[in-house]
Amino acid sequence: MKNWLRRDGFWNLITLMGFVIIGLLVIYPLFNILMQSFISLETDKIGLGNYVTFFTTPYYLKSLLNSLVVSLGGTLGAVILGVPLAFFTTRYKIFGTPLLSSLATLALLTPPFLGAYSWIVMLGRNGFLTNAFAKIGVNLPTIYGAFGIILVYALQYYPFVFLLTSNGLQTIDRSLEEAASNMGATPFKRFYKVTMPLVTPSITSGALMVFMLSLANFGTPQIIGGRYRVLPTMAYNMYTSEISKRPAMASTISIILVLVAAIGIFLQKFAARRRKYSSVLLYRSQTVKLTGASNFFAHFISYLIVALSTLPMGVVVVFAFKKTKGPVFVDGYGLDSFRQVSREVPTAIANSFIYSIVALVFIVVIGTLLGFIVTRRQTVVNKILDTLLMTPYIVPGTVMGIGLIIAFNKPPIILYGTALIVIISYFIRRLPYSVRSASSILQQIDPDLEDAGISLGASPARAFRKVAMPLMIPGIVSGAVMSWITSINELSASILLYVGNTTTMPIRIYAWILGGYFGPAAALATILLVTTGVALFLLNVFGRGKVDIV
Amino acid sequence: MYVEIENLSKEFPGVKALQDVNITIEEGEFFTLLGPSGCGKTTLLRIIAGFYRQNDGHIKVAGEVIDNVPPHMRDIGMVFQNYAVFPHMTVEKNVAFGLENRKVPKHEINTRVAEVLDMVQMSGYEKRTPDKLSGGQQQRVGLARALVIAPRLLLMDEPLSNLDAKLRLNMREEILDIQRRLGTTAIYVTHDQEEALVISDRIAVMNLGVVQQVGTPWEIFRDPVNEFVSSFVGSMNKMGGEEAMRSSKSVKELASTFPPGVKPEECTVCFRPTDTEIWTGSGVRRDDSVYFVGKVNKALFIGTGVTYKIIVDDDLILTLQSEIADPEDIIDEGETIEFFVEKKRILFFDKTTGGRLRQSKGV
Repeated sequence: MKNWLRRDGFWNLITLMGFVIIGLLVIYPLFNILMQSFISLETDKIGLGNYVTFFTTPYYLKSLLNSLVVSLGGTLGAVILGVPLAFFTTRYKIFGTPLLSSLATLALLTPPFLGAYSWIVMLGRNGFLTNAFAKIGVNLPTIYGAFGIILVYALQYYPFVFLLTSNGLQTIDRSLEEAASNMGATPFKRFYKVTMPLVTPSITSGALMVFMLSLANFGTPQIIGGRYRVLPTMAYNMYTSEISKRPAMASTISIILVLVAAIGIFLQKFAARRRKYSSVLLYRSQTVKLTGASNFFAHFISYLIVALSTLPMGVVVVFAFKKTKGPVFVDGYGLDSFRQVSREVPTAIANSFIYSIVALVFIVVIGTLLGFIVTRRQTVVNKILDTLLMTPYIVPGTVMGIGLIIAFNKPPIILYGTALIVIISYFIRRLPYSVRSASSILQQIDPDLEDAGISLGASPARAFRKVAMPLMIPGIVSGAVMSWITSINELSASILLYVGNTTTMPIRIYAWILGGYFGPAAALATILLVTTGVALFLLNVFGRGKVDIV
Repeated sequence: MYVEIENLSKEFPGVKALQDVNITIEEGEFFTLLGPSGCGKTTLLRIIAGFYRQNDGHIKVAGEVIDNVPPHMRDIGMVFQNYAVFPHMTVEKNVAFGLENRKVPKHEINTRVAEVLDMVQMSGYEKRTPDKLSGGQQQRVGLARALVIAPRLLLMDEPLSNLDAKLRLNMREEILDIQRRLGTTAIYVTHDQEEALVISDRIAVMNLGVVQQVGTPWEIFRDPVNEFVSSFVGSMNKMGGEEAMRSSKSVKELASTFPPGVKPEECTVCFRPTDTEIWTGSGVRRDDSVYFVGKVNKALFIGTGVTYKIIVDDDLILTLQSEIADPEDIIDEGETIEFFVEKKRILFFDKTTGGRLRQSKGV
């Protein structure tokens, strides 16, 4: 710790600001939820009555079990899809691997509820595939419920497993596998005795990330789940039905959801600690060119996985141009749906852009400053702040939304119904990622560089500006694009926080899907998809091409 | 005295990194802090640079107490172990950085950058970025960058330890040449005792945050004040006083070298492998030397000679260094031999404190 920095009042102010932000926007709302959960719905008495109700009423308890089922199912599916794809693309020459990677990343960054909607268009009650198969006498099983949710999660989130596993495989030194062969291991034995154990930590990290996201997801089960309720949808539905009363059960479910998520993040931290086997990377592994049937097989599987995950996006775009009559698609193509979008919801589009950009400014500036203090000024106070800054990680969007409403629809601060509360929800949900990303960028910058600048006569501020900042900018830009993409696609918190004139694109799409207006929903979704795609493309062209999703 | 370090102490949570360090350095001197990792040498350097603040004590440079001068106003150049060359700036920009901070006029910057790059033999690399440079070249830029500001003190933190062996030898000579030419006072940190002996005017040997000895390379090597210094700098054979007596062929001669009033069981007897000679058995024994007997355990050919591992007193292994003219001269493993050491080359240390015990006068 350096003394000349400790004297700097500016950084102390940033620390204080960090505590205020977390205290006001996370701890205070969570505390409000916690308090509500302890006041019994029936008797108004303080106690654990609501929790007893939750665990003794099958209706509630089922949502916890359902959440675990779909989250574990989605995780398993993502591993089954992601791991082979990673092995094929890193170990064998697969034609078009960069394209596969980009498409997988794009699939990952589109909101999952669009995927859910798209599968309904294909395989739902009136889906075009359902109808096509019905014509030839085949009745497809229903897409609604657990199966549909797991399908969407697996196809949506497998890129996490794929990207992390690929990275893990690429950083295994070739000589380790060569040593195994040299000591007489058969290729199969080498794979499961050496390669697999070395890459397992990467797979585990990816899997846990998928589990966390699946657990927190709201849009997918709400759209494709039917009567199959999971914790976030249960909390949401309880909240909207309790609106006139106290949100007792919604709060209770929220707390249970946060606890489950906390266990998940604890496991993730535990796995991350053992994530890296430290070994010197001298020789990168080589990709082998396959021939004949095995070559065909590897290509077929790789393209099939990516195609399946890209298919929903394609369907959305195609159906945006299909003519509709009310909720029914008819033959022929045109721009009718887009006309309807521009006529009915220009505010939603404008709001989405304005809110996400305003939030982004704060996410980047405050996230970078906080990232700096938790990395370069490791005082006890800042270490506490660092831990607190991670709390939004375990708070699913639905819970965050409920918390912000309860906290800010009463004095002293009333924000409900304003645009500000939507912006705040974007900001606080993304802030931890921004802090993490700034911090990891800084960790890659040798502190000696700043010291060198200072010993050459630059003041600490000038050294930060001339040395640290220029080195951080590429990372900050890529983190910013990611933040912006997640914000503009945000649904689960904003669905609770919006009022008529603060609606956004995802909310509008969601509402249209529920109302059965698939045409304009597809058109607006296409606009959102194209926006996301363009942002990613610009990042690839102008950035270092490095998309840091984790 | 140009640099004065007075009663300096530094504590990190749970560790006393420096304890009451007192060092004075003359203007133009090449001074080295030598010690194993964790001995506090880098901590001391970083306190001088201003990156750490001492808990106690003062540092004066050219008569001025710099304790409260922030690091960017100390005018002290520093060369880092991992080069710390700014990766986003060209070689030229890296070197100009310190001058720009000092608001030196543009044309003067250009001439001074060109001069110093010439001095470190990096002319022609001005527009390169660091990722296009080898480690050695990056360190030359690091050195140029620290020198161009004409610092009143040049600090070097293990600047050569990341370079390969051959380059390390060349670079250390170059650094010495440049320092001599400019007359800059330099403080150099290293854990490499050979490097320290070659490059320094004076050396401070440190261990566990305490300065063990300050002296010229000769004094450090030939006249160490304690067992730690003797074995850290160069290699050293050690035997207990009683073991030495048991394995000696000239007990009386050995006994006469013992420090006055010290019993054999109270001391350690030490001598360097390079100070030993194998006795061929012909001619008269030298009376200025002590003779020992042992059995050859291993004979290792090292090009310039042979290193023997000798078993004495049943289980103690000593190392001897011997020159040979012919391969036939190498003594076979298992043979019993006699070797001798000049009395004045034998050092005695207190077995409990490790402190040096002087031999009787007249030896």
